[in-house]
Amino acid sequence: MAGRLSSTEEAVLEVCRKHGNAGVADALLQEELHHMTMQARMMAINSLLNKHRLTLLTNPADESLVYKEVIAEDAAKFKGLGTEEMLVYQHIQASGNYGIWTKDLKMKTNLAQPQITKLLKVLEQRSLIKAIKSVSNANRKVYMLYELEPARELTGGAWYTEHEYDSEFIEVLQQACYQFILNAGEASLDDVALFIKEKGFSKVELRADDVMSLINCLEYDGKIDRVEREEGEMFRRALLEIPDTSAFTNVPCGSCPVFNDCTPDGAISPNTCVYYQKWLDF
Amino acid sequence: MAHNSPYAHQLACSLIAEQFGPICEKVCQALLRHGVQSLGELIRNSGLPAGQIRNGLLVLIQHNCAIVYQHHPEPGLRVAAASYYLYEPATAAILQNLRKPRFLLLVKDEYVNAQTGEDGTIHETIVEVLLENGRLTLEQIILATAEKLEQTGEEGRASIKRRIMHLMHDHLLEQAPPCDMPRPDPAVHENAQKRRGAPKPGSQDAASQEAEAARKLAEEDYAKARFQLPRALILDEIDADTEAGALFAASERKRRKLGNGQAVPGGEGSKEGAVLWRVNTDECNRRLRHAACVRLVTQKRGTDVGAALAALLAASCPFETKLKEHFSVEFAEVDILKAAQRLADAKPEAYVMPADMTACLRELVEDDLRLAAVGGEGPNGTGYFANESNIINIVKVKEVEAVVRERFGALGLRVFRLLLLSGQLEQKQIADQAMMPLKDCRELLYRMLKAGFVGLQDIPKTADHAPSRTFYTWRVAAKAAADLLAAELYREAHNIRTRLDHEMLQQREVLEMVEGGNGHILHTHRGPLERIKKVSAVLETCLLQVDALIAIFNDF
Repeated sequence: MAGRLSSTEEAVLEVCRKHGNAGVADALLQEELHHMTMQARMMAINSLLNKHRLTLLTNPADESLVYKEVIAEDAAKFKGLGTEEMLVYQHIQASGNYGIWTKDLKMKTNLAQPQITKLLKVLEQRSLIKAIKSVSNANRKVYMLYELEPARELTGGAWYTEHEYDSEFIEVLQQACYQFILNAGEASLDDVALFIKEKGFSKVELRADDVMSLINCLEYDGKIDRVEREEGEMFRRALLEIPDTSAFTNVPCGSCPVFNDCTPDGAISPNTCVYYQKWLDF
Repeated sequence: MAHNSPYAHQLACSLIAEQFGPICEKVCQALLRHGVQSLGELIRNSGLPAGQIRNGLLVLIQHNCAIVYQHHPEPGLRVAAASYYLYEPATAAILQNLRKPRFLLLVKDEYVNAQTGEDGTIHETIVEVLLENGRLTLEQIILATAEKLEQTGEEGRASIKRRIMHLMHDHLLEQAPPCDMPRPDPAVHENAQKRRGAPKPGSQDAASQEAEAARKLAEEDYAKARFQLPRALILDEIDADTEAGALFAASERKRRKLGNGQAVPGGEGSKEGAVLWRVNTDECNRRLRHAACVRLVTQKRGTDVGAALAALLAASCPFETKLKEHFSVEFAEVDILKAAQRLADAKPEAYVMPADMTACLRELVEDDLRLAAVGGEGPNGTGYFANESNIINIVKVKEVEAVVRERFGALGLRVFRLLLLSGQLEQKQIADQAMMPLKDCRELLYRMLKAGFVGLQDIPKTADHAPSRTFYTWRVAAKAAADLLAAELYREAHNIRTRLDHEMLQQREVLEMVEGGNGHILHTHRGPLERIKKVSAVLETCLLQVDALIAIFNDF
């Protein structure tokens, strides 16, 4: 808790408490504390601002300034932070759950990079902010308030686990969807989404478009077909399957990395081909 | 055309070398390298003595590996220039040598008939004789087949004759084109400007028009005579008063009526003996093409719908003129049912009549891949025709997809099909929609680009084409991928053959011992002998399978 307050400071806070959330404009404060000189009042307000007991807000209606008492927990949170720390904190707060990059922070605050790094370290140590790695820019760390949940764009949505693309998870879900569609004969998007939700495959909640991407991938894999029915779009097992093997790739030439460099009399030739050797080694 | 790719030429030369020896190979090589040429040019190009070239050419022509045209140069001012012969390599025919075993199987299979108890062996032997010898006269075919079947008696000859008539009637045998056929004009692009009005008499245009008319006449003559049954055969049959005789008596009467004194090539008794017959590989390929269509439709829509398509295609087969027909001939349901009945009667084990033909035809028409379509209203009701080229294209796409999966894995297939279904996309969109990390996606796309399966297009935002201000979109190069595969298949076939030769050469000693009937094969030889047996079996099987793909990508 803040140090002891003088009587003038107490009086200012008293007025602020009286007006609650709306905040107190300077004129109102003057009116309420008419017994106090302007200088004494200013001294008290500055001191309170320094001690983080009072905060200065802008009234969006007429852009006038209003004073408001800082609630006790917040006051404890910000205790001992300087103006620069607060400046950085406020910019981070403004960036919401998208976070802000240190370069952008530098531009907005006009502070030097090493200084910002130091300030961020302090804020991080006090668990006021946290650093999050963005999936779109793996090398870029962004900062946001400690209590916020990072945005979907930052974490990559349901398909990322700890910033790594979770291919296994996707594979398992796709298999499950495919099996469900096979068993059901024909299924709609809602059916598949409901099935996944009921079975609880995913810890994160999957949105309809997440399930749609799973189904789309199954279609691209050539495993299912999309059909138009009266009740809407349905999915079923692919009627036309892609052949399991191809005569072209059954022979080593079909997937040979040096196919284009191979000539009958060259250094690479079918006669001396190591892939053939391996293939014909019974 | 992949027929004219260097790999196809290599394969063609090696096939000729294997069958007809080094001289024919050299002649074939010169023909392939320099295209259509006269004998003089061929002598210069090949560097062989004239006598050898003449013999080599004769062998190639006899085996339908070279085509002869008679060229009439435009007459000069004073004297008419003498005509001379031009020789062209029949690359497609040479390459189809690989397909001979399939042709034989096809013929045997086509003529199995449960009703008449026919097993197709004689038909197969006739085709085998012709495939071995290239082109033969009727008498030669009968003699060689009778010898092969050891049925040299009068009865055996009669039965062979009857089978030859079947094959001719079904267009599986054709008359070899005469040597004085004019050379067909190179195909002109359909957008090429056409001249209007009649050209001035004596002008170059008039001369070329005359040449064109003469060529058309010769082609028409050949087209008329191509499947004309020899009179001797028909008369024999009428005398014998058999079923087949009755069948063809009608066509003979019609022919006489039409011919009516006109000279039809091969029609006169004296000429008939000199007419050479050969296997019509186009017809064989057409039947294989139809079988590929039916296989695909059966896979997608089940046996009943497949059987309906098979009946439609069987009915359409005799009327199709080109191998790569886009559509089948249109038939009403009644006619399709008749064709289905014929198939079911002939092969009760292999063909089952669809329970509800109307439903099957409707299913074909309503399929989202447009397998068939409804034509006009005819005297027998609504007509249906199959969308053959569309079905073959789907077969090709499926084969390309299988290759993509083998080469680039399941994710490669996913990206390929995504692009095939969605058209043109950016890298980020592809990664998102295919649910894969951007880095992997980029790597995969560039590998596929290098292999020629996908294409990349840049759409610059500014005139300087700076990469940072340019969109890069990816798309599937379906036609290019199919063409690439078509050429690579020839290369692969050539590689398989080269390897097979190499393996055989390595074990020559052991093989010679076995062939020489030497009973004392040492214990140490058993291992290599077993191995070479396996190796040749594997390689030859693969070669046949690759040829089936070659057919799909190059000939169908």
